[in-house]
Amino acid sequence: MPEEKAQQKPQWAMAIDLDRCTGCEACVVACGVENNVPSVGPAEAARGRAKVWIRIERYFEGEYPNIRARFRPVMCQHCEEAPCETVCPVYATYHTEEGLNAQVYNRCVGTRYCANNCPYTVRSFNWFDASWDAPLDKALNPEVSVRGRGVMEKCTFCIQRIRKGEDKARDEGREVRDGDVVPACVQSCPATAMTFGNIADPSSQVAKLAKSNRATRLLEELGTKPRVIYLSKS
Amino acid sequence: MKRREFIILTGIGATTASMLSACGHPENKLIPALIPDDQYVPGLDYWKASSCALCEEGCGILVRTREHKANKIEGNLNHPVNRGGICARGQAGLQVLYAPDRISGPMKSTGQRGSARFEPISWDEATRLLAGRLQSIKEAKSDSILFATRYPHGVNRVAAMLLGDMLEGRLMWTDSRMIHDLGASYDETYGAPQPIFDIARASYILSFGARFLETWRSPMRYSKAYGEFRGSQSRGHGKFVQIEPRMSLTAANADEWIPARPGTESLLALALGAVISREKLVKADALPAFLSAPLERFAPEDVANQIDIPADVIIRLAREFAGSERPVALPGTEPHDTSSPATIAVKYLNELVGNRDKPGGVYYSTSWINSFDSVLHKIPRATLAKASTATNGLKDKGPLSAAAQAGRDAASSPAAFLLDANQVGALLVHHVNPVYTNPEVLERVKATPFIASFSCVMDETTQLADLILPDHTYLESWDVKPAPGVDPQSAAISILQPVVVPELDTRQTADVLLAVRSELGGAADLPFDSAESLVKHTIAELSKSSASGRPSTTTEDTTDEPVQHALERGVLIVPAGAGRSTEPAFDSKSNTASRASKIEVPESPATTGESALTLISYETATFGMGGEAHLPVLQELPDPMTSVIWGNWVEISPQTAAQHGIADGELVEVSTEWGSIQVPAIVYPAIRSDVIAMPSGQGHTAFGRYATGLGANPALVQRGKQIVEAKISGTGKKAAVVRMGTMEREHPDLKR
Repeated sequence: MPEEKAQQKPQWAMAIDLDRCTGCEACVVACGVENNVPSVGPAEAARGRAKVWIRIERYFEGEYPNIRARFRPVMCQHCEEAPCETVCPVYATYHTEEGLNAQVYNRCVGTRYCANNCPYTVRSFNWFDASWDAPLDKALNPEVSVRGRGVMEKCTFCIQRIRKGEDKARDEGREVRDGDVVPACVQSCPATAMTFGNIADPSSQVAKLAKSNRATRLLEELGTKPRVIYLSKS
Repeated sequence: MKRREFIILTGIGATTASMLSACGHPENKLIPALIPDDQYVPGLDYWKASSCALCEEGCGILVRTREHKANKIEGNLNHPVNRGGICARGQAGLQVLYAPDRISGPMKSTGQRGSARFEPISWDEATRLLAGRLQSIKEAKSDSILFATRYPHGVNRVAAMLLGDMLEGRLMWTDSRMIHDLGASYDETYGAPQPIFDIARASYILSFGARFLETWRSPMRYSKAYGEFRGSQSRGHGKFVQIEPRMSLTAANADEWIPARPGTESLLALALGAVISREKLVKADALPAFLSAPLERFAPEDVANQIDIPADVIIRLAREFAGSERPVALPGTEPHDTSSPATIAVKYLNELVGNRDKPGGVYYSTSWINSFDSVLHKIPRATLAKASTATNGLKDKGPLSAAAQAGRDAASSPAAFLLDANQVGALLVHHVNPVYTNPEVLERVKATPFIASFSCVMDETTQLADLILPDHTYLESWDVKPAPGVDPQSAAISILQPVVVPELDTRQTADVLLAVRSELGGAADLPFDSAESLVKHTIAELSKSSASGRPSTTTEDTTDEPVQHALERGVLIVPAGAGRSTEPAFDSKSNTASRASKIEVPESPATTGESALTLISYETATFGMGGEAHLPVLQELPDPMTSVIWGNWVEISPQTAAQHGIADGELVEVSTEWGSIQVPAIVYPAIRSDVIAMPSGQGHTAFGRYATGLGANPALVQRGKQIVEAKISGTGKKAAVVRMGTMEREHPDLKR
């Protein structure tokens, strides 16, 4: 793919304002419903096999009574220099032209090297086939495949919603506009803490937030160049 | 054809285009109009506007359906309350619809009460059985009939009121609001059902245990406002202080957490008031002597010991609060023994800083809800006036006002009613579960001659029922509900409409009650014959009363157009009129001042000897009072503070844990004067050492496969009280507590 053409594609990124995030976990459920992430039940969860594509990390700071808690939503950071991609022996995880860290379920052979190499521990492995007690399966999203046993999975930035937004723009003969693509977590956020968009477009909201003096990236020092920008508490 | 009608019932037409851009999903079609089966395109998303019913709030939702199945719920950008957002519980609504353990059709009991043996019957038979039973109670002229519902408003209640009229006032209704909301005390102390706290524009939020990001009143509305509070650049950062004995998710977001002793919120509010008064932090003319005089008793130096917060902290808070540009104080919602004084005291504090009807303050609006009530709840009155003269000459006033008062009375939560009423001849439960939420009523419920349940899932109370008439879930129902004040000038009426054909052989309770009414000989002269036509009738009436806020008429059919428009949007905005609190501010006869002056200073608690622990329970954002515990997606959602999934726990401070020799994750016994329960202990660093806290909502003995037998129910040892004295002791056994992100070792690791 010529370099120039790749540059024309939108470069997806997300900004999360930690000042606004309340840790309510609406995004976690929104993500699970949109992406058919199954509940595994108490027995499997006790073995560490519960799955989420986005989690809220909670940190306590200080001692009672001057104790404080802080929250940080963490999902796949879609690193530009993703450590998971280089270790996959079968190229199941790779980088798209739009800056997404993608996972090809059909290629994945379940070595779990990627999860091992991910500094953000956002990848989860399917230790068994996902199942839903009927008729809960009726609520599955037909746009997203249900992953089988032995496959690694993680946040896709709601690739199916990105595709729909792009298709719509193409049908209307225009460029994708800011706000055309809204991942499920961003859509649900009660405190409007999350913003998604094309960081290559300087007029987009996310590009502006990325330039904020509060902007940080998680474990930036590892050189992974994450595409998720956190606006620290001011 | 009938099934098709359910899908297309709202028939969306020409105005779809305007909605497309507004709803945020321009790529998808929104609720197509009258699409016959042969034109229904598989693979296309159809969006339908409705409202959430998983709490009292009624957020607007858009439901994505495809191949006649609902597969996603999103917030409706057009709804002024949630403005596109939607909480975790709201997202899980699809599992309410597709719950594997839903009751599939009407049933009657075939065994002893409590044997949980039921056989399926037809709807005709079920309706006849219920009608017959109610008729015989009416003829016996002795017992009363209690209709206990989760929802204080809506068409099901109207149908119950209409039915009640056929029963000569024997039917009383009551709602669960009194269990978990301040509904009743607000009516009294604020003169408004829901004052609006404008935290978005406030510069200082002082919350007395109001967990407004989780359960208080409207988590969505206040989360949106909180985002604005944090996001506003012009105002500076603002400060948010949360006062409560245990750090909740809301307190975790506060700039400062004040762990006051539970039950001392009113004292603290008045102590703050005392500082404001004696230091003259507000303009002198705003504080006449009759107001400041009662405050002298609450000097921080005198009450600091009871509150267990240093006096200098109280003084600092008072100075910060009164010195801030737009301060607002929020009263907590837990209806514990002292909630009413706390509400009064916090209102007093707000009045002291003069934030009434000001940006960033408190708005009191009385009339918005009346505009709703006047239409929906006067429908029965209007029609009854006619119907009663035609039938047996019932007075309009009698039964309905008695019923309405029963519901308004603070002493009439379903549980309180059951405990107080001498003879409940028939108990009709509608999405409430008193045997679970208030186990103390178990014997009274068992002794009730007749129980009918409208629940969707076999719960503790439904197991005891003689007759089960399963209601639709909210995603299959018609309803309207007033959303708590959007702004002082307007009110939102959330509209619920079916988004899919009913999954099972269920029937909406309003329709069942109307059918029972006909069975009992009710006149057929109502302007509606079903929940659906009642909803449309209400929307039409409300639209008539508000000329503004609706598009100009473009079609010839002037009566249907506003209804159509409202159904497309899923919400109707009506002007509320110039409603103001009826109580004048700082009048010498001021209700607030006189009530506040009567608040007593409790004795200083003993500081020596074996210190007793206080057990508090709290509602969680996910399960509420336990009504949504049967949803696996919420069970597997980690608690934001403790990361626990699939079960509940008791929080205990590290200090107390060490004192009692309790380890994190150990099974402990929590006992009060009413009994004991066993539950895992979580050592929690952000709780007072004299308090232990348990989340409500778990410990069901019957509630579908996912909730039954999981965790412990704190209500068993609380007897309806939120604050009780308790003891805790370790059992030495490891509890089966699961925390997200941790795992048990399956095999012993190699020695390192």
